[in-house]
Amino acid sequence: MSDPILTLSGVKTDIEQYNILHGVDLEVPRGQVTMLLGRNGAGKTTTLRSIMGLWKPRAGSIRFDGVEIAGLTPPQIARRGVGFVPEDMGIFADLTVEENLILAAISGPIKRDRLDWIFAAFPALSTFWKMPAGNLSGGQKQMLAIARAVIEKRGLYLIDEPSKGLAPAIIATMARALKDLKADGASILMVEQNFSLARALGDHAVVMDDGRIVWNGTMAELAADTALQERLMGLKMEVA
Amino acid sequence: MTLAPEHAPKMARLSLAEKLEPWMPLLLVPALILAGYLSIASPTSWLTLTVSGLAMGMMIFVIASGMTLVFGLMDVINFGHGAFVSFGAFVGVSVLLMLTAMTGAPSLVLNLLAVGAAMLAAMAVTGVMGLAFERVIVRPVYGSHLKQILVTMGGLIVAEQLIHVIWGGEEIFIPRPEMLKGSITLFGATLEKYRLVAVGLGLVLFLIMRAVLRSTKLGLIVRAGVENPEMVQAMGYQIRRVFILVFVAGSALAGLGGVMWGLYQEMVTAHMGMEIMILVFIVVIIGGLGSVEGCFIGALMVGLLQNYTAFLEPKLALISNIALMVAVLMWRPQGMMPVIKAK
Repeated sequence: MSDPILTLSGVKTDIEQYNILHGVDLEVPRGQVTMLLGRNGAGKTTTLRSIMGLWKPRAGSIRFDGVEIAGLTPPQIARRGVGFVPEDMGIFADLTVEENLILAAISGPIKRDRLDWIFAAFPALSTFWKMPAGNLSGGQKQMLAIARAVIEKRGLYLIDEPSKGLAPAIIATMARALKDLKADGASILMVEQNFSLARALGDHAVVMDDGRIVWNGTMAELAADTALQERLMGLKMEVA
Repeated sequence: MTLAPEHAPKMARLSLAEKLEPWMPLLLVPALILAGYLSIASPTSWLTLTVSGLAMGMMIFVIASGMTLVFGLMDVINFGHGAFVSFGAFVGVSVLLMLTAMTGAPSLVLNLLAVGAAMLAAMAVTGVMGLAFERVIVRPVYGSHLKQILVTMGGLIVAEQLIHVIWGGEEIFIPRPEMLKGSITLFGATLEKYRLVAVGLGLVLFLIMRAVLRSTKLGLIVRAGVENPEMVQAMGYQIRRVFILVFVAGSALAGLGGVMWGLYQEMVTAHMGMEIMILVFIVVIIGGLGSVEGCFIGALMVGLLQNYTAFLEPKLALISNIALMVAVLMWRPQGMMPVIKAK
């Protein structure tokens, strides 16, 4: 793999007295979508939060765009160009949709072309522009969470389970938007339990188990091998 | 604007009660004023008590507003907030005593300039104190409420003793500036001039604070930080710097409130901050932790209720605010206008 945008080497992260990551080695290719898969509790969310600096790794190296970021604070990492969509969406419920997006535009006023892209991908956000984000439906909150991450062009997007708990129609909207983002050349590391969505979006797949990477390859390889899926993830995947 | 997509929720038609529900806290203040009007036989007494209650509420709001933001933003319980009130009052009084030529002149402009200078000096000193307090006392105990209570209470005691060292152990009486003495008569009611000034100043401060919180990016960061500080950091903002700024601003506002309270009482004591903190805590709790609007409404309710009950049933005034807190928390356990915190 040439010139990955993100490289993790031997990352170990503890949460209180528990060792969650036991030495994660991972590369995210530039301009492609890497799906981070695995059972519940495998360490996927911890990996994303460790990259974002929200949980400090005890050991190991995290290099983003050739620069070590393992010791940096979350704001420093964000300002280097890492966008983050957490599992719980992290929406500011008391702020309006507009205010959520103004806040997300860290380098200045919102650029018109980005906003047009967001409104085209997620029309509901324009409809409820002045509404407190807490009043949005679950799907609309997820759209807003993604819109916040993409309101400015970032070097890497970390997206944690964007389809979690959403209706199929909204997942389809989400998938279209993420495909657009991918077509725009974005580098994405995404945790996803919905294998159909993972297969539709992913170029690469990385499977975690017990705080380690246990498989690494192309999405096509994983999608083609149901036995491998069962062995790695313990579940018979429903491939639509 | 584009049309809502197919999956947009259908907005159900709300009943009148449901429509009014979010506005209920805002209606409580006029409702309380109306209840006071119906309970107090004399309209002139009611008007005097209402202005007095509003003035008291505005001063409590000025003191409490910083504290509610500090709690909301960084989950810090600062029992030492009262130290800034006392310190601010003493600094302000010292400035006023140095400017007796201005305070004694029969000129409203000179009087207001003197009071303004006292308030600015108090804010500057307590702002710097707040910066030191945060660095030395609060920072080592982030995340531990018990330690915060103990150490900030200790800070309050140290600050009070420092006041004794600097200004002596006795209270200082401070006459109001010449043009703020006495009262005016409106609709037959006697209204103290200073209380009217306090109402006006408190209202202006509230509007400024609201404008900053609602219309500036810094305000957005503070409001978002109260809700979910981790996400604000993940978006690229140094929430610690914002917190320090809010802590300093809150301390300065407490100092300003100290000057206002000192002039209201015409006397300052080292423990005046600790005494007023009971009312401040009630206001912060019933308003909803982290909510400036809730704090404002709560402060007005506390001020009005205290004055009405002191007139109608003086013995009840002692427990009226505790009773108010119990009633509000039974109605809304998280306060009147709680900020939705991230889980």
